[in-house]
Amino acid sequence: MTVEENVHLEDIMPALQGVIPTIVATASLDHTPNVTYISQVYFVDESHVALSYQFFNKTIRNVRENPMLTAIITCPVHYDLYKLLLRYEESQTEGEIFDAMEIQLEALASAQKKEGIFKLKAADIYRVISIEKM
Amino acid sequence: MEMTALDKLSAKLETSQRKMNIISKVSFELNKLVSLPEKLNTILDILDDQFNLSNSMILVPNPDQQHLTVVACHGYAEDQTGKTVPFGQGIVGLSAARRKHINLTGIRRKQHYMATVSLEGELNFVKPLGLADAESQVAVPLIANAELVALLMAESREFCVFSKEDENFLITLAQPLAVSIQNSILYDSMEEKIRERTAELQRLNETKNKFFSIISHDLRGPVTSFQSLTRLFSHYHKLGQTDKIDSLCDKVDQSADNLNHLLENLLDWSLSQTNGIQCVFEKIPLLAFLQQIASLYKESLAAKEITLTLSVGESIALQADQHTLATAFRNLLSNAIKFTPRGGAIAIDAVRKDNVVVVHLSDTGVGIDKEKLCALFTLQGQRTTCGTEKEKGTGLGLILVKEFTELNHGTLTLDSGPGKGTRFTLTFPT
Repeated sequence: MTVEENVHLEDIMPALQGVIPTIVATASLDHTPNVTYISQVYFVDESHVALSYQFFNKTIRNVRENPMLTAIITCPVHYDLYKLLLRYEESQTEGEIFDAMEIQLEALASAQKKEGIFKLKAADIYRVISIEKM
Repeated sequence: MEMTALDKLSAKLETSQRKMNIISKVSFELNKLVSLPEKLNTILDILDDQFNLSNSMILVPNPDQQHLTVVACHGYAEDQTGKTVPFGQGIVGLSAARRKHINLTGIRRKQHYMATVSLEGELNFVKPLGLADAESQVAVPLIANAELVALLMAESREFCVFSKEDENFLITLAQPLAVSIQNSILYDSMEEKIRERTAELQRLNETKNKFFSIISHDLRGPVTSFQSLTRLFSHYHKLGQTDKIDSLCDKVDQSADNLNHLLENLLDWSLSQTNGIQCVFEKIPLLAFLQQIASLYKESLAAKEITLTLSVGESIALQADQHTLATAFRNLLSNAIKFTPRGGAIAIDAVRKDNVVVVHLSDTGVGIDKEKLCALFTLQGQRTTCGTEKEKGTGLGLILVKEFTELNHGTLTLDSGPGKGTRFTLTFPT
């Protein structure tokens, strides 16, 4: 991982808690770009993050064709912006990461009596290629 | 660069030191022999003081494992104690149901997002306890011996209050907390069991004392009387006075009746005290049943010239156990005869009301004063009172009436006063 000096995932934890939506940019195999918002980028470990796969959409289709993804996350404390270059690695449908993401989704849904509506299909794991403070 | 690393290390050391202090303080509180709510409130105070958990609570699962109830809380304007949340609902309920910790922030925005993408638009946020507008919430299940003992929840209106480190630290604290809470609950339940056992032993001791008291007082009398009568028989026999021997026969018969009645009551009562009575419920036609009971006391009634009136419809029937019901009515009637002066009256009537039969037994007897009324159905200080013609009793009769009425799912009340007679009211299911 090549990251900007002194910027580590652990240092930008508040930005990975989904307070402010994340902007993600992907491109299809024929280089057609797609930019959208997602709710949260989850911290996995010092060199990995996860994105929730709930619905099959353009972002999911693009990363299955072209694994590179750019995410712009915002720190809700200082409002600093960070650009993360990510590479899709795998989709997990069980395990610790999947469970942690699923339980968060279910906790929010059950508090609104919408249990089961927001099914997590998979936890998409991305390697962090670089982090750049914007 | 070196300074930055040193600063980071120093900050980490400071944090570790602070956490050690918290663990030390919490451990100290956990080892104190105080009530569970007091212990938990102190722990929440420490967590606020040392860890800035300004709004927190501890919940325990109900025995049905369907709900959690708040047993301690800290920092809320309104007391949260006693509030409940169903298993599986919201962050607290889901953390308990899944036995996994949950740390969320930006809760309200995420819920708005969910409401929007689910196309339902409206936000219908269910939060039965704590801060209605919490933005950050962490819930940590406290598990000991694979059992969910309690749940620690902290929350805030601010964003990003609980870091990953905070979460991990709370998880570290969760283990000793869980063990301590489980021990306290076990300790409390042991105390409760000891109290129950002590009460049971006291009751058994009273039973034993009463038993010996009855044997020493009530059995000795008739036995002594038999002894005297035997000597008199022998004496008159030697003198050849057969007419006097004949007159003694009535006294022997009466003594034998009294002794038999006493032994029957004593046996029934002993069985009821050791839960040895097995009721067999059957349909009992009340009029025929009461006529049979009354026939047993025909001579006693005649001897005191007491009139007994039965006003019971032929169609009235009870669902009851024949043996215990007969014992109850035998004692009620013999009690009424005992305390009704010569020439008095006893009336028994019964009516059906909805699903119960109400039976009244009234007499024109001496009545019972207020002081005796309070202790009428208990063993405490209870001694037999002689009847209007010095008839003897066991002191067990009315206790048996009450216990056996209740065994038949009935109720017993009475209205009495000195000089105004006594009226017993019994209700039984039909």
